[in-house]
Amino acid sequence: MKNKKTLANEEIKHLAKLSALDLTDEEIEKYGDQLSETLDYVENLNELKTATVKEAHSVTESKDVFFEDGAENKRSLKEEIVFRNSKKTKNSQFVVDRILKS
Amino acid sequence: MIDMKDYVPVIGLEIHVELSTKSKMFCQCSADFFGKRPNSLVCPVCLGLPGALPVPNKKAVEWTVKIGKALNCKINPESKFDRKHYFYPDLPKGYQISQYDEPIAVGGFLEANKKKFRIHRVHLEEDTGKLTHEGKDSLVDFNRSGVPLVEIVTEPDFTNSEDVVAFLKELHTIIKEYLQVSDANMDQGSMRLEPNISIKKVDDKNLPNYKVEVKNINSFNFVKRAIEFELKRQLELLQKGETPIQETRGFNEKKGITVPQRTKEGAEDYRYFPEPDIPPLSFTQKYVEEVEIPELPAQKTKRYEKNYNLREHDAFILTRDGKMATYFEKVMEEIRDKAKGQKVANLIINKKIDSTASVKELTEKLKDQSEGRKTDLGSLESAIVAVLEGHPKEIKEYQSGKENIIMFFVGQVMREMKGQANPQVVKQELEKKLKK
Amino acid sequence: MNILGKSYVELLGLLNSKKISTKELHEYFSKREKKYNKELNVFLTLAENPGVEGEMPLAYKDNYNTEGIRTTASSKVLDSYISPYDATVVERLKKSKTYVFGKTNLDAWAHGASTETSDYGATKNPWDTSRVPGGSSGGSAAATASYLMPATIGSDTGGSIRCPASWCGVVGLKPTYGRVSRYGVIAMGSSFDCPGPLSWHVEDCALLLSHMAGFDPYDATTSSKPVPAYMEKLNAEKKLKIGIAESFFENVDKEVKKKIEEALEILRKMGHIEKKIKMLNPKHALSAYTILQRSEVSSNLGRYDGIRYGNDRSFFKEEAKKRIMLGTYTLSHGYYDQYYKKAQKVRALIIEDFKKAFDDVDIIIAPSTPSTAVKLGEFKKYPFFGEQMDILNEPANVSGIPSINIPVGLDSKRLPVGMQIMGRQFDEETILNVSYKFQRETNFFNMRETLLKKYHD
Repeated sequence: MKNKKTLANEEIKHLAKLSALDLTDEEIEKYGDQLSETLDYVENLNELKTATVKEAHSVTESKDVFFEDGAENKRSLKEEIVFRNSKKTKNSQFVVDRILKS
Repeated sequence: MIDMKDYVPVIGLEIHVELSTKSKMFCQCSADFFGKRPNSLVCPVCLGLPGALPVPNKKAVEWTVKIGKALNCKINPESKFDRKHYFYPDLPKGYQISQYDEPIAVGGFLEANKKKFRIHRVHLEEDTGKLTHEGKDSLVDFNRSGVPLVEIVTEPDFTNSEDVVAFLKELHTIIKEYLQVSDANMDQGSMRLEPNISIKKVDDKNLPNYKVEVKNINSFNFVKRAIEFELKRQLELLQKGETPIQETRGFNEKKGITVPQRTKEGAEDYRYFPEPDIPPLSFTQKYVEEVEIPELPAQKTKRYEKNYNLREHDAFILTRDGKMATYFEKVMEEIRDKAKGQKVANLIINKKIDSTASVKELTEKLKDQSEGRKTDLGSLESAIVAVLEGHPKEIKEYQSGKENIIMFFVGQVMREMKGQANPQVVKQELEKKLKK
Repeated sequence: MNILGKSYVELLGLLNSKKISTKELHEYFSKREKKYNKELNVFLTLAENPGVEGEMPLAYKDNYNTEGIRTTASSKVLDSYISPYDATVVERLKKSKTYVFGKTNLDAWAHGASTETSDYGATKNPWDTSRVPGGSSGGSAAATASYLMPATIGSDTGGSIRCPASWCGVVGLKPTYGRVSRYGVIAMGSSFDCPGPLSWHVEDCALLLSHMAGFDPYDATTSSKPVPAYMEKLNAEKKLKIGIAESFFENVDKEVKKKIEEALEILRKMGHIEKKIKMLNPKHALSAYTILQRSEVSSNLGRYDGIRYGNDRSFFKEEAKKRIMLGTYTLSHGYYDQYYKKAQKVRALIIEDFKKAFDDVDIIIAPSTPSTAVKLGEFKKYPFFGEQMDILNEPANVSGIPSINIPVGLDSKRLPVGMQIMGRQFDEETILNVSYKFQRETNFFNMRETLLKKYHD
């Protein structure tokens, strides 16, 4: 008998929404299975005791990396380049279907 | 002020301040975007192009520490940036680089209207692009994307709109005039305010179980109106036995009301996690101590009252404007007469002299003012003669030794002259005549 | 002049002494591309212009921004995207007299270990075209193995250089995280991504690394540690302590194990000493990596909304969608502590584990992959194939240490076996040295000569 899936279809739908992805019902079912299996596998992390361990945000020990305010801008993009890869522009701006506010 | 009956407002503020650094927060594009051609101040970083990476602006971090210090906060020895995720066309990366659980500054306070209002935290983040609407389309300009933004969050310590306005004005003065880290212009959006407003019963020790956030307030005037409207609206609901909905509302300045904005189902899940592209920040005690902040308006005001004997009201006005205050002190330094403090203050405040005038010009005006107009010696002569003729008894008293009766004569002559005389000069001329 | 199989270093020498011209090189490799690319599907885009005289041709995995040249990350989301700028690595290599010859195929967004998730068709393994070349830098590895390029540039986030290098039988180097700038490389796992070189020759990797490495003001995670003269150190005398951890040999193919043992015997004869060490089981690195990488992926792919560039999110395919969603889950409210935070804590343990090991030994040797190249289509049988195939590679990514894959022979199916040599942080010098000496000693068992008979001019 198959165990209850770790990720139910409802959760997959919610995740898709949070990730701004459109999924078909078939995809929801299929992904749910595979993602659940993946989540089951990573449970092995609980074999390691980490109560007193501090999270590693990075593998480097760097700190305080900055740039100086007012430094020369060598990466400024010219107008043709800014819009070269965009589909719809108007008055030097990018166009989106109207966003409804309230 | 509304009659809150047996309720009391619970108001907290979230203020965003755009820093006036030269460069943006994570790239070298110019941060001076106001009025520039759309999408002319962009690079792969602030446009969110594939492969671009952020590197933090040193000055923006320093200035955030300054703001934290000015607000009496504790500067965290360790801090970091985090990613805050949501989708919106003006957010090019699909996340905003902000700070979540390790902000730069925490736990401070600021006084206004003689009350202390606590600051919960001060953190640093990047601004978004600008979205405008035209017919069926929405247009996006990324010039503002990546400009450094400081967010200041207060505790819900405010109970009325007057205090809120006083607090905001004090904060504005500190940030714009004293620290000079931002234009803090509410009209242009370099200072933005979102009050969180709710109401509880006077004897309730807990915070209310809802709060309403109000957006789109663009001036100090509107702050008061928005809060007042909201308090009235919430009070009415509560009195009916209803709990106001927890929501975000927008202030409509034309109608002076707040209206609901599109509600999202459930709270937004920003999925914060530490920004892997930026190493953490560390602030040693030495560093924090060395970050200079000038004498702040509250201290300066008290000092003026004490050292120059100014009325509180006048000291307050002088300290609202950095240039004015500096000029005042420069003048006082040169004339070295603390007693003249109030008079100098008056001149400056009443705009009888401006801060570009030299000290000499000011002392001249001072003399003119305290010594009145140039005295017409001809009319003075007549006035003195008239007064002396009318007061033979008092002349005898003066001549018999009661010298301070001269002030009586001065007063009489001043009346004759309808005040258009210099009392010193009057006294001198009287003495000349009386001693004959 | 016989060019076939010559190292990048050698060709550069010939170019500098004018015994060969850039024009000749460009024609040579263009001819080979025309001959073999249809079958192998290595190149996605060829640059329009040959380089200036004196420049070497170089191909980049298509997740590198190359100014004026199409860059897709093998995804239809960026189908017609023309890069507006050069990645720092590209810029530095251009300054070191190279030009962009073309862009190579990868698993879309670098998600995978077989190059099969590319939206432009899978790349084939030159040793057996019914099999995958490995991934995600499959195009780069296959191009290198079949000598469609003297050397190529790839990226390794969870084994994406070492796995295809292993399955294609070439040298592939994953430098220390932070040694090479990521600026301009389309981000996959921000705290894991490592740009690196591939070639038949260790000296090529050393030379290319010396050009690529170093602090970059545009990438705050790069190290300001000085860059050693890798080429000079290749021949230095070293007697090293080699750490062997049993947990890295679990569930590994018998034949793979055999070839590694034979390679270790050679290293012993060269004067190095083996020591058994105890290390955390790689399955934990696999789990930590899967969670953290997918979390970062879900975030890094958020910018693809089709507004400023590219196509909208409906152009994402299955693997990308699955990874985005899992990453969103592990970061979401209520699950963050259980997954993301826990994985970060385990990451700290793994970093510590390696630090401790390197107090004891100088390098750690293990197989790069548990098996040799699998057949096309095999990946469908696994719930998270990409990460699972790279179980032995991921510990190095999780801890940030450098690791190099070198070919150590063929199995009974005539497929390459790859061995990885892991070193201390910023000690690329040592792993390059050992690999270089091993190549000098064995000529990698003539694997290059063998394969290039098949891919003759």
